[in-house]
Amino acid sequence: MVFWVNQALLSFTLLIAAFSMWRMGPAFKRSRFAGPVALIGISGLIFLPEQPLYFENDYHRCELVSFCNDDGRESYLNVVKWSIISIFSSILACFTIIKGSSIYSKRNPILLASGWIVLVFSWWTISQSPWFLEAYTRIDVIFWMVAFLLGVLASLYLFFNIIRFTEKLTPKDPPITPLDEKERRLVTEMIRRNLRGGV
Amino acid sequence: MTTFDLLSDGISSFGAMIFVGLFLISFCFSVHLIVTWNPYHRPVIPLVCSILICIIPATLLTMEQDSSTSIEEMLEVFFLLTSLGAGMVLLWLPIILLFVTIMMFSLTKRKPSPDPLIEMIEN
Repeated sequence: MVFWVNQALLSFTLLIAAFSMWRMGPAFKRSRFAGPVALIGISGLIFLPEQPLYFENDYHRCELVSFCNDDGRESYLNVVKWSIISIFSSILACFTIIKGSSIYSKRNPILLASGWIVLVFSWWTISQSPWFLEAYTRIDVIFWMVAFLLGVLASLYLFFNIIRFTEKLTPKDPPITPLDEKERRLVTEMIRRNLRGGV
Repeated sequence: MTTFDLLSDGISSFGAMIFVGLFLISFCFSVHLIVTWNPYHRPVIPLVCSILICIIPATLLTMEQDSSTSIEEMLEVFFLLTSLGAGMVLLWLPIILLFVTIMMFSLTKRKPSPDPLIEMIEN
């Protein structure tokens, strides 16, 4: 039996992989797989296996780990479901509002109104999640949020330096020789033709 | 509705939360580098560094009790740290959404420009 913790970890990893595939090149055809991989990841997060029963191997392991009990699994599922609803509704709302506004095309009041309805819905889902209220009223949790942000910034700084170091190791190309007279005439002719519309 | 205790297993100090942030970004970065593998990016050094940042502290955490470790325990620690990290990102969600709502509000109020090119140059 698949231990639900392992499935949750694998599904979360698949979601990160899907996001990377969706946004990044250079093999742009990779993005075709982003949607299905994201769907598998989300399904894996929502449809977690049941807790192991007393005659299964993982049962005793689960007794030792504090988050691996029925309450832990239920709470985890609750947070995942509400978060998915909030995040998806806010993304959908933003897309609809941007589409309905006058940035790329003519203003569409119906699209704008429906986008705002979805955005209000996403705020409602957040207001229905008790952990936000609980967290924002506790000063220690606020400190941990700041600490987490510092950790994120520290890691970004660290990776920035690692990438810079890696790029410094890359051998530089030799300087390019200047164009000779024939090449210069060719380039001048190409620019002249392009400026005159191919005449 | 039940609540999810993000701060279980004693991981609740300021320093530990900095580490959780470091771990989550390293984990995401290593997955990203593996999925979008491209030798022209020279990903080996960043990938090795991010994997080390993930694995070494996780191994030390699993060895804390009985000086031994196993794949099962490592996966549990990975799950705990990624869940804590994702939970912390979620706690920032209302603040992020507040900024997004303000931006959407300014977009909604924006009137179409007679000449978008001139407007782009002026801005």
